[in-house]
Order: sequence, then structure tokens, then C-alpha cells
Amino acid sequence: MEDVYIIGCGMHPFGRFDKGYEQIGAEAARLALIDAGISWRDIQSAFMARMYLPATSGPRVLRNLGGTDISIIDVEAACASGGAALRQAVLAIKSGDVELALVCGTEKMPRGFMDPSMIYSPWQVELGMSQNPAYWSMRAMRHMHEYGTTEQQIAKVAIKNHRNSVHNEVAMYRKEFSMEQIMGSPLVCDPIRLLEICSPNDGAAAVVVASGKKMRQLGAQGIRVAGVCHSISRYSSDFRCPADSMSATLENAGPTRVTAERVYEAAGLGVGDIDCFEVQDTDAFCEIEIYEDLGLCPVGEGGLLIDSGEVEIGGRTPVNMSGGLISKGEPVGASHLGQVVELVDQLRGRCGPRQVEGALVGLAHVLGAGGNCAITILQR
Amino acid sequence: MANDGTLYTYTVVRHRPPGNYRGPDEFEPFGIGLVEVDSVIRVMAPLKSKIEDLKIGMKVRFHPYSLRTNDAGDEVIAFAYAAAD
Repeated sequence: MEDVYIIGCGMHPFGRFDKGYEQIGAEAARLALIDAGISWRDIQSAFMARMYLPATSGPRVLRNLGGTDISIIDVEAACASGGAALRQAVLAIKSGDVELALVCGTEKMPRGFMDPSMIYSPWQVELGMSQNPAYWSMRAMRHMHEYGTTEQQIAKVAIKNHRNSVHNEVAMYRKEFSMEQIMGSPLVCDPIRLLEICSPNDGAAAVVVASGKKMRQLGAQGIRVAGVCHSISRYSSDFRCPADSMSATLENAGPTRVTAERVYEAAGLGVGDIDCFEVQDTDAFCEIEIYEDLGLCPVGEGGLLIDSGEVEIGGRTPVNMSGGLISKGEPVGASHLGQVVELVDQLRGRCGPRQVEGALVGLAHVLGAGGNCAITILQR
Repeated sequence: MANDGTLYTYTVVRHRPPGNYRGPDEFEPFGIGLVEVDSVIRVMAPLKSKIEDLKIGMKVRFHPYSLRTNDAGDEVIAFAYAAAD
């Protein structure tokens, strides 16, 4: 089947803004079209990733670009919405239905903990089991118990990502923090601290995807979508609500491991072929577990990997060059496409001080409610 | 399912959870954990032990408690785990 390419991308900064989501999303979409050197009327199908926004958000955002009667579909898969939307666009092109599609992720979210009723049953909320950081925190406590991972190793992830964000003009927080500052910030859920957690916010990111034939017609230089997979966790290993779990086996593979296996196979690439990574750092610990689930290191050695410096820009396998969600914030529908934009920029060599030298292949990963996981691999 | 289990992991919730949380009016940090029962399943539940006593591997016991009275005047029972002794 024909290869699919990203021929343009754009972002509205992630942060908090006094404007509507319609405007935020339209700005990202417009920038992606300009970057691709095409106009809105060339687009044959559009997909809008969002979680917190109302029905028909896609048409409401994109009508700011001009009238149209093409198919515009809203896509929701929790934190993996952007990956699910990109996958739909890739499938639409591979099927031969369209040659040029727009994928946009847009979000505008209230401050503070996310609305628990979107994820948890009323009884879980009443009992106090509805605070998101608690779930990763429990995994962190077990990881520390089992493998000797330390609070300092977890803090190092936050230090790295905050440091990387200084050079990213679309990040919400662009400030370095010291070990003392991170460890001195209040515990939210033991052992996770305030400066180690990402915050919901506003933002948008968009990409234009094209068939190889269309790309050549346009004379564009695209980045190939080598693979994009989306899955949810197997019922019995739902990492968010294990209260629902009545598992026959306690150690089912988690959603990142399952999705990674699928996307490596689809792309015909292994973890060793990948030059740079953008992953879901909902909190600093979860990045450590994701190193292990993506195969960057053996299980239990994620703490050693952050100690080694290999996940820094300039290391062997840089992770979250953009500053990650800890620095950018997490506008849920836009977060994965924001990662994809970072990778496209990395593979095109236009990331300035945070550029990974000679990057040819990049991987973007998101993971969230319901064990929704999406991974995209891009190749120059 | 056995009443007794082992604490597989836990955390301490340091801030009032969002939404309709039915804890004490004056918020107190509390534990929630994953309890391994019969070596085959793990149950997530609040922990009714002092937070400073929580420890991975500790023996815990099923601990039903009165959560609230509903509009019909009936007692609503919730579940937690607490230290076995």
C-alpha cells in the first residue's frame, strides 16, 4: 500500500489563553497549511482530536478557515486522541479515498485536577479514588520497592524535561529547576511531587498528510509515517482503575508494551533504529516506566537509564526534547499531535538548540485514561 | 474471596480529591492501595490505617464502613482495607 507522508505542521503554543478553542485550533491548522504550501480548499478530509470540547468541534474550528463540505470528524480516545485521529487520516489515504487530509488536535481545559466523572464511576469518586496522580504514584511506589528506583531518579526526569523546555517557544513552562527545587515541591501523591506532574491546559497542533503521489505532485519534502497504532489496555490490566480488574493473571502486558510491539512490527523498525522519542510524561515516574515498556532498557532499569544521561539531548536515545508534557502542559486532544510536530521539526533539522544531531527516525507516545495508548513512528 | 490480603502498593493522597469526595469535612491525607488477595487478584481500595504505618507487603483485612446515609434514609456501606491486627 502507498506510503503516507506529513508534508506540513503547525502549532498554537500550549498554555492558558483568553481566547476560544475555535481560534486556538484554527491558528494551528492555518500554520500547518502554510507549512505544507497548500490551501484549505485542497484538503479532502479532516479529523479533529479533542476530549473536553463539545460535539462538532472540528467543523466549529475549521470553519474559520473557510466554507467547506468535506468530511470533518471529531475523534476522542482520551490522551491518545491525536494518535487515533492521525491513524484515521493515514487509513483514509492508504484506502485511496483521499490524497490530502488535515489532522488537528485542539483543547481548552479548566485548571486543576481533571474532571473525575469523565473517567471514574461515582462510587470511586465518593471514596476518594479519583485523583489521577494516585495511579501512577502507586506504580512508582511498587517500582521503588521492587527495583530500588529512587525519588532522586524520578526527580531527574523532571529536571531533564524542564531543562529541555527552555528552548521551546510553544511550551507553557520554560524554566529550569534544580534537584532541591523539585524535591522541595509538595507531595501530591507519594512519591510524586508538584513539579513532577503535567498540568491540563489549552493548545493545538496540526499536520497535513498526503499520499506519496500527491506529495511528489506538490514537490513537497515529506516525513514518512512509518507506523501509527492505537490500542487500549486489556481489560484486566487497566492501569487507571485496577478496582475493575479481576484478572486471572496479575502480570498482563501494559498498553505501552502492547502498542509498541504492534507499531514496531508495522513500521518494520526496532527500538534500536529510533533516534529520538517524545513520550507521555504525565508525571516524572511514568516516563521511567515507559523507557522500559518501549524497550529502551530492561524492566527495572529505567532509573539507571536516567542516571546514565543517555536520554538527554546529546545522549544515545534522547527523550522529550520538547520538554515533554511536564513543561508544555497537556491539552489532551492536542498532546500527541504536538509530539508529532516536534518530531517532524527534529527530522527536518529545524529545532535549534534542542536539535538531535542527524535524527532520521522519531517515535511519539501517549498513554491515558482507559489505557488508551497511541504510538507514531516517523521517518525522514 | 478471602478477607485478608497483602498490600501490593499504595500511595498517600495529599490533597482533597476532585468531585464528590465523601471524606471528612476537614481534609486529612489518606492512603489508597492495591491489595493482593488469594494470590490471583488485586483490589484497589482506600486504606483505613495511619499513613505512617503503611508499608508494601503488610497484611491487610477487608474493612467495610458506613460512608453516608442516602436520600431514602438507608445506610450506604463502602469498603476499605485496614492493617490485619
